[in-house]
Amino acid sequence: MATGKKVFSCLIIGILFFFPGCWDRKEINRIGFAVGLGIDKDSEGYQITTQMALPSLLEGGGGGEEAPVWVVGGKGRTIFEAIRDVNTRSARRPFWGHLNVIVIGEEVAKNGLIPVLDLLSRGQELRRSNYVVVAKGKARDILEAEPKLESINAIFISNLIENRTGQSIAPVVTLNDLLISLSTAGIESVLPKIQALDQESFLPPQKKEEKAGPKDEGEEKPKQILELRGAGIFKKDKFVTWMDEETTRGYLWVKGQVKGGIIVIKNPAESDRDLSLEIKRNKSFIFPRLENGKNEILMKVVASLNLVENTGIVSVETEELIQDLNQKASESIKKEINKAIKVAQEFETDIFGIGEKVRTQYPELWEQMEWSQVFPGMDIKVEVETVTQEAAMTLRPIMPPTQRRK
Amino acid sequence: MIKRGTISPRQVFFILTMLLTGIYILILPRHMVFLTGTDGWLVLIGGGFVSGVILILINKVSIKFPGKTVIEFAPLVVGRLLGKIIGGILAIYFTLLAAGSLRIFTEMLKSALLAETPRWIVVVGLVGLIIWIIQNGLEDIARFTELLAPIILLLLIGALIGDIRYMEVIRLKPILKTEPISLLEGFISTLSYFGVIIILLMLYPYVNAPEKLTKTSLGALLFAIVITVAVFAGTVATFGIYETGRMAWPVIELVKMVRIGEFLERMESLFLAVWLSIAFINVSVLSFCSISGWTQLINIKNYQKLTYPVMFLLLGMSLWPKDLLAVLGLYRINFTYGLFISLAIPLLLFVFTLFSKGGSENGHR
Repeated sequence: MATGKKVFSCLIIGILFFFPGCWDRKEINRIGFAVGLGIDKDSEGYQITTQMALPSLLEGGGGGEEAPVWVVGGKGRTIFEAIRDVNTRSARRPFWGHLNVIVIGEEVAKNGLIPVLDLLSRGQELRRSNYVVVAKGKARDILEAEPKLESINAIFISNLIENRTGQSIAPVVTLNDLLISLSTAGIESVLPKIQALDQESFLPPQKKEEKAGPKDEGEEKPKQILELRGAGIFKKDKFVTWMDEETTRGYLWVKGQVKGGIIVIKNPAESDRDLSLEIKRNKSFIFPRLENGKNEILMKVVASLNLVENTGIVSVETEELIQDLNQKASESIKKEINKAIKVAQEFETDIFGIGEKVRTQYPELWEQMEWSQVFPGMDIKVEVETVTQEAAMTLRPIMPPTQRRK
Repeated sequence: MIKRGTISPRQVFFILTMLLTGIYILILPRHMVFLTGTDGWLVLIGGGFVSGVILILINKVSIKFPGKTVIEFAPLVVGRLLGKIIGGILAIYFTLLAAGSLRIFTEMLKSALLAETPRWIVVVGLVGLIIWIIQNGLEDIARFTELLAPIILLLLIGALIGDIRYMEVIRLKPILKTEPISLLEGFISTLSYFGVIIILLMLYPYVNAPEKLTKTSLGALLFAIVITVAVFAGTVATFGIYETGRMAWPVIELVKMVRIGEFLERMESLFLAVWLSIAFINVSVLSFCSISGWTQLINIKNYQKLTYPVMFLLLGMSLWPKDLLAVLGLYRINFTYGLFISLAIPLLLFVFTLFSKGGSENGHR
């Protein structure tokens, strides 16, 4: 009896030890780590592009010529069919737990995000903290681009997104943010815009014409520059228009998400010279005022700035001039915000989430109105308050001896 | 007989917090969001407060019958027949709760981690382990809980802190705009949710310092309310009510998003491993109460004999529902009618002990 019991317990322990891990084992040499996912539309359904990392080449200390990622795609009527279609071309099953970024093609965005997002929010491997960007053009071009510095393109993109000291001209949107803005009444979605280019967008395009000549006809070289600038705005789940950089920052001011960037204004004491102000912090408040049939929204934006560059020769350190400077900076910010408001009202899409404020503050009124029709006619007032500090190791601008008074 | 008077009030504290914040919290946010939307946290506080009152009644009743579980003293208070009925209801209730926790945990594990593994592997594995620990008595379960619970609770709080970056207060508004009838339904659900505290009626005789239990159990309830409200509010502030309602496992989704600093992320495997221990503790305590309840109900000397039949019953019950939706549907019954057990039984016992003073003195002797 006693030995029987012992044998039995040993058996149980053995089963407990070995069985539970067996079914769902994922051997590291049987899976491929998908780090980027691109979704495009074609006539029948969707085409997806995955970027799979090849760990062996990453560890090998820069394994020579070969890129450590492999871009492979699949197609299907639904996203899942397309994802499974990848398996026919990949010897390793893609593992989605380490996905960094989801790139949505322009066509998909125009046709609506919801059919695409459902699977992405269901999967057990996928995380809601993945970044989402919308591509100008095809998502595949973005994932096939070969930017420098980072050998894995998807990691390059997520570093671009996370670059918080940057210019604040593109929003940071995770899958979770996107799902919430899609499902919440009174707020519409905005996604950062990404574009693959042969050269930086500010360079004159003549070089491109040269390239378009007959010599390059055969093969297309992967693009070298990825730019994350501006944003696409959505109405419900459908893309409506692009916002340029300034307008995007106007939007980010209202969301309180400007974390860096530069404002260039004229020196108040010397009107032909510029000053650079670095943005440090940004806060914002939205106050709807709808009592007694009023139709007014007040946006209050607070920004703290640092004076970092003075191209002129007149110092602005007096109290008065700083006041002037704040005034000018506020106006410049206001201009950006008004641009964003204009776009939003023109396309009747409440990207700022004003509706959400109205809904939480005036629930009874909210029930009675059709927000998408009320929003374009709203009287939106903007108030900007700026605080500027002179920070740097130098207090005065460069001053040639001929200009010195003393 | 099971040895009595061997576990400490502190162990009871951890057992109660584990039961109150362990398995059923996985499905609570979703259920509450459906009923009460953004007001869920207020309703939870209200339900928790009323449960506190019930808890005081439970303590008042139990202290009058030292060394006896509810199944033993109920016949003395309300008469033999009614007392046996109450005992039977409680024993069945604990068995159902144990089966429910086991199945809900298994479903969670299946959808979050082990998609291909058959359910019975997990269930049989856990039940095997639980049979073994139950054979050793409540003391072992209590010690195990005392050892693990602080770590588990710290991790839960850590998960909430790690998600603060995603939370926005506006998602918790507006306040008190839900229809009163839904609020009431939500309130009833919280009573069933916190109603697991009636397990204390079974634990009393096993505690070595019962006079301290009123304070300890109220402390445990308070702590559980704070955690539950924080988890609910945290989930809604992170995902908004619509997304929370869409998810099968809002709390697991919350854990999946955790990111502390720039490097600590993708930690759900750790949390799932922790939840395995929570499930183990929960199901062990509930099955222990159910087995000892059955033993006392039919007056058997040795509870070990009943372990196998009850555990096999439990195994069958937890494997019976077809899928997750069926499980949630079944659990809704407890959310709606659970208060007839968690509220009515302590109240009934309390009223009867007040009126039959003689009966309670008999209990003393």
